[in-house]
Amino acid sequence: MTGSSSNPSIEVKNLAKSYRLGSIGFGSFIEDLRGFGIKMGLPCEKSQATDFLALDGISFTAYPGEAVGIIGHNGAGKSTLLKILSRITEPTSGEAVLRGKISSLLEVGTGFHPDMTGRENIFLNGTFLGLSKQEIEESFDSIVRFAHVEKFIDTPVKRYSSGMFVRLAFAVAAHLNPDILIVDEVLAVGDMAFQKKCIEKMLQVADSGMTILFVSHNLQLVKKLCSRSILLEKGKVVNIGDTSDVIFSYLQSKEQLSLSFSSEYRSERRRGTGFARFNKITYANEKGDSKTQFEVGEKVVFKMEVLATEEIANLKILILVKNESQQDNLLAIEHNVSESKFVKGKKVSFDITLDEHGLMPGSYPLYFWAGTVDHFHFDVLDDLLPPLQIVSKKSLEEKTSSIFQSRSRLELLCNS
Amino acid sequence: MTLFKTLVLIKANRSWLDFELKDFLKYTDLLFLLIRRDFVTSYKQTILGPFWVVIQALAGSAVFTVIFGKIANLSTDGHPAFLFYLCGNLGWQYFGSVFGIGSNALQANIGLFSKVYFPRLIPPISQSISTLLNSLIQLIVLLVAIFVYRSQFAEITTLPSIWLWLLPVLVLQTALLGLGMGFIISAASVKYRDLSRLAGLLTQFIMYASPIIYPISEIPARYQSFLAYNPLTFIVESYRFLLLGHSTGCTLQFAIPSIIITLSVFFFGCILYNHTQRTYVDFV
Repeated sequence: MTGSSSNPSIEVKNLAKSYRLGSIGFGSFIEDLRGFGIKMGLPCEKSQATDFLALDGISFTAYPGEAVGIIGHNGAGKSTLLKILSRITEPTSGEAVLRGKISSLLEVGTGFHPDMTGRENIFLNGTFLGLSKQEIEESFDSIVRFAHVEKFIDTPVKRYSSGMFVRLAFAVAAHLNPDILIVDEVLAVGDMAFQKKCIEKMLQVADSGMTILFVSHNLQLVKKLCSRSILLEKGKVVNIGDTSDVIFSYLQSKEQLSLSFSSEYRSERRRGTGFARFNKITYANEKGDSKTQFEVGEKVVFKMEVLATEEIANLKILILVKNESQQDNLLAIEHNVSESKFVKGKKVSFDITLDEHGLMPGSYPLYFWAGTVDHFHFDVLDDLLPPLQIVSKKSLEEKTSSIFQSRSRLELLCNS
Repeated sequence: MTLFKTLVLIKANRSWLDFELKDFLKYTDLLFLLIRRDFVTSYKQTILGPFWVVIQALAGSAVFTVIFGKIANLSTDGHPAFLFYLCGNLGWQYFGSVFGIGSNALQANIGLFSKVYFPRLIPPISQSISTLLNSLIQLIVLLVAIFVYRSQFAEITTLPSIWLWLLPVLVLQTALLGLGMGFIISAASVKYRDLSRLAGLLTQFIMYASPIIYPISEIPARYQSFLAYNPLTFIVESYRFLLLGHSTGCTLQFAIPSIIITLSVFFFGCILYNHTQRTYVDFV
């Protein structure tokens, strides 16, 4: 069934995708006319528009029975790659050969109609994902059982709780039985118990000869599910191989990123007036070793340096630890930097130590905020720095407490 | 396991004529389920339900009868004005809905198209079929109205033609023309949305340029050959021929250009739509 003798089920050769930067309007229309003019052989100036290569010569292969993880920073090209392999958009050059029936899950519950019953939606969603009516009939009972919605199967889904809705949607997805499964981070849905069920199902199908392409920020899960991984950076494959090695190099590149963030002053993820700026933020353990991956229960120290670019009266620091979908704040750590006045050009270094936190294994995006007590924003880093990685030597299902209690303290180091 | 049934090749710059028809056949279940979904959900949370279609048809024709029949005094080819407009509206409104579905196909389905692959022709085709439910109700209204008129006035000769069984063919031609024109608008307005504004204007213009509120026999003979190049002339006149029994424009002189133009527009629209859908999620 598997082995080197069989054909690869996914063969990606030199895939590239470019996007044109800038907005579409009158300006781009003039560009289009110029491009047309050049094609027609008219003496036109060459287009000024800059192209952005979201994917730049991606090549890899995956064999039947193999689960391959795709990791990388935001904007590395992961989603673009999945969109191309799912046939949602076309590459600019290069090609990919996929052998077998493909199912791609870029979201759960595609095509669900709120006015239709659970039963009708199972059929609708299933056919959208490429099943025939007969195939759905065969696994219908199993889908309903998996989603645990037996009582409500003939109720319109708009009356469902959000949990039931997601369970039903995932249940359909779990019964696709394709040869190639392409999954984007859809697992970040449902309650803990259901997530566990989904992960078990994924592990089960990975053993059954299916090829899985799995994109996630949850490194713990990638490690558990995928034997081999691909690290993307700026649209290129920078590392491919054993998952632990790839994750290691990914985390290293993340740390480099954390040192150079100060060069990026204004973007969607960095806001604020700039009266005070984070100069440096690193994560470390109690001993002071800098790292991004911590064990469950291990103390996390945020080492920070703030530079005042204007004279400011007081400074408050807020750190939010978010859940993976970035919808909820799990922890809010708030401290006033006890300093009477900051003159222009003054640098303050301090450590904020998270002594206790109930974080389970996973990846947690961080939000750093510097401002005044009356909520004047100086500097905001919204998921700009690497997420906090919590790992456990024990297996995933051990701990299920979801109440987050934390204790933290601030320690002023030096002023200059 | 090693013998795979399907092979998918993803590459840049595929042929404009690559319609992936094989995939289309695999998704026929989806087509039928979508039609069913539209039937089931179209009258949800209304009290009068399909009666709105009846009210609209009657009110629309009544307004036309007063304005164009009584005030403007346009001829109605020997048919009672009310029946004449009821029939004209039936054909025109089906064309209008299908044109609307087509011209909005890529824009309205972005949520689906950006998340999952399936043949992109399925949503507009399924909607064009499910909107026939409205036309069916209008048809019943028309047939009842003809019956009522005939029982009230002895001099009225309006009666559906013995060729009525050809109605599905005419409906198919209407749908192909509407979808084809719509696809062109939809594909062209992906990048620059200006054209979708034009579509509204175009619809009004086409309505007055086609014999909806007037019969073709009203037009001087020397201009009639021009009007033959409007594919809707033949279509609207044929609805009258099939449903009301006689009309002037249901002849070969009108049929040949109309059918040729319809097929070319549909083919051209499909090529443009199919080519655009491949990368349009990058723009919208």
